[in-house]
Amino acid sequence: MNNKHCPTDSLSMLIKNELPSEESDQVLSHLEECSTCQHELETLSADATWWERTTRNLAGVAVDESGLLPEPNSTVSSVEVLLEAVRPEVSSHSLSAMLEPPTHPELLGRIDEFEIEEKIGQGGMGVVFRGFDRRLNRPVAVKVMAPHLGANGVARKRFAREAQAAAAVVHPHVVPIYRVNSSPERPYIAMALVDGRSLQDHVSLNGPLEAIDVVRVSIQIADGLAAAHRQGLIHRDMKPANILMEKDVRRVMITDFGLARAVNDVAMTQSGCLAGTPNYMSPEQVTDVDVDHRSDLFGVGGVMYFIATGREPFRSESAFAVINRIIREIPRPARSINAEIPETLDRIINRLLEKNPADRFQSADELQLLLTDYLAHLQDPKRHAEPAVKATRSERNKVYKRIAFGLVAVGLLLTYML
Amino acid sequence: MPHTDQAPQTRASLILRLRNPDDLRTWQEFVEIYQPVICSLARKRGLQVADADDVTQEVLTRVARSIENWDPDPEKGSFRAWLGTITRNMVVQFFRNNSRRPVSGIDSQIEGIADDSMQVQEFDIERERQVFLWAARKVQPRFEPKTWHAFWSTAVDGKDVSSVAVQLGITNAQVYVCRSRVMSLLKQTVERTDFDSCDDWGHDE
Repeated sequence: MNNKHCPTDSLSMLIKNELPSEESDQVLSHLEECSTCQHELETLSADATWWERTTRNLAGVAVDESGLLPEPNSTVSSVEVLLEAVRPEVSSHSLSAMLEPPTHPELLGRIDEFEIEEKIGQGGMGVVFRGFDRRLNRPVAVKVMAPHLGANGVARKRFAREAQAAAAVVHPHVVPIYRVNSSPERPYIAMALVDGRSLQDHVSLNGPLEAIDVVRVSIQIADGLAAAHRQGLIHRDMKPANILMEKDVRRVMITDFGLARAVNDVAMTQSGCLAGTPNYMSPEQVTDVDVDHRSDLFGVGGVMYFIATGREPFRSESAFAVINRIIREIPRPARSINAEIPETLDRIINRLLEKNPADRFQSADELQLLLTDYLAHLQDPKRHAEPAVKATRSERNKVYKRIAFGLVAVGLLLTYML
Repeated sequence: MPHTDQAPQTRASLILRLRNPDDLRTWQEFVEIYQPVICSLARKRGLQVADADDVTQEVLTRVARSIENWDPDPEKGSFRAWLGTITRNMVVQFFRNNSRRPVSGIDSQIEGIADDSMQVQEFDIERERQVFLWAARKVQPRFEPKTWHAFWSTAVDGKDVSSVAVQLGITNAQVYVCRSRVMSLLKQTVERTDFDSCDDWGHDE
């Protein structure tokens, strides 16, 4: 046996670890001596060019002492976020496919009992129409899930589940949901039509709000959020575009509870169906850690920052860079952008934007109480003391630096005088 | 150069998989492999790490956006060449957008970048390097440390078989077997990452 070359089959099986052990002992002892079979074995696993390519491409790679390969450089992106950036317009053809023929030529179409008047928006998950509920005689906003999302059963169920959970929240600062339809043909949500615009649009048109209005609006947001959190519902997509402000009234309402989650569901990350910007996501959200209600508080911090300054706390040209900032950078203090922002408000915002959820306010209720106290103070400083807000770590560091600097200066002065 | 000899025929299936944004696994692997390739090319053009990351994101986003319209016809050029072109364009655009330096300097820099043939070759070399590294990372955990060591010391570090055998306390024949086993799996893993050639992207091992 030792003089006879190994059969090719045996060598192949040896590579696959499928050779019976007696036979493999024989082959191994032959291999020990026979360079022809050694060569044959290696060629069977991969031909010579593969061995060359392996050497050429891996030779420079530094392994650690136990031979482990280096970890990949932190991939800044998550694939989900990448795919979110893709956002096809819904064509007019597919638009009309969403609707039943109209009952009146002036109208766009019909969905169940809702007369559809016009398309008023297009977001992450589909198209929003303005409609009218003829039975109850009231205007509605109808959000129809994009057809490619609707075709996905998992996505559709999640959409319906989240919307139904949100429908259970009845609160003056949460947009009421009237109806959830999860039929495979055309899943949609009908909700109250808020006459007004989003905080995003409001600030873009009119500039930042005055400090006292920032506080007033934020109290309402915290109030609405607290109601949802009490029912175990997390919004997950707090941003100025999801907070609607009624015309002529300083009342705001939160919309799209939980829908971000439905849309972001892995199974539904179909091209383009997502609203895209991660600007208001919390660090725990972008790093895929489990999120709880405090993630929404980070979002409120971002919203407050935006309505107080007109700028997003974390912005950059690409989603990658934004995420990077959310994780690593402390945003420039709102007060340094808008000097009219009082220090306490600045601190409240900074506390909300803390990277670690444990360093933020711990509940929307807590935030609401604090802001209410603060509003009382702003309205009547003589009768209401300003509530104390603990400084964030970075603010404290700054103060320590100043104190240290002062002490050194005093020390130098003393030395000089003596 | 072997990797150009083997410049693969463009076949559709992987590209088709990328067209399905639901196929997160394919996208994940695509990003794992191509992110470092694009990033490293951008760095070679003088971009800072953070800027190179931004450019990389931009390139990947463009791919995501336009993969649907990409025609997998070998006559019209390979997927690799297409990616290389997008990378080059994005780097050029980055310099245009961010030029605080005198314009003439930028232009010569851009001209340098615009050299097509160099770019394609460079892209291929970097891609090949990253594919092997990626595949090695996938393959390593599937072997005993000793088996992997026998492979790495001889096939990559170029040590001779008998000294490695002595070091690991195994026979020469076992070293040959070990490294052939690793090589066989490494080859399969590299092959299925080829977005231009592979028509059978087996996800199950």
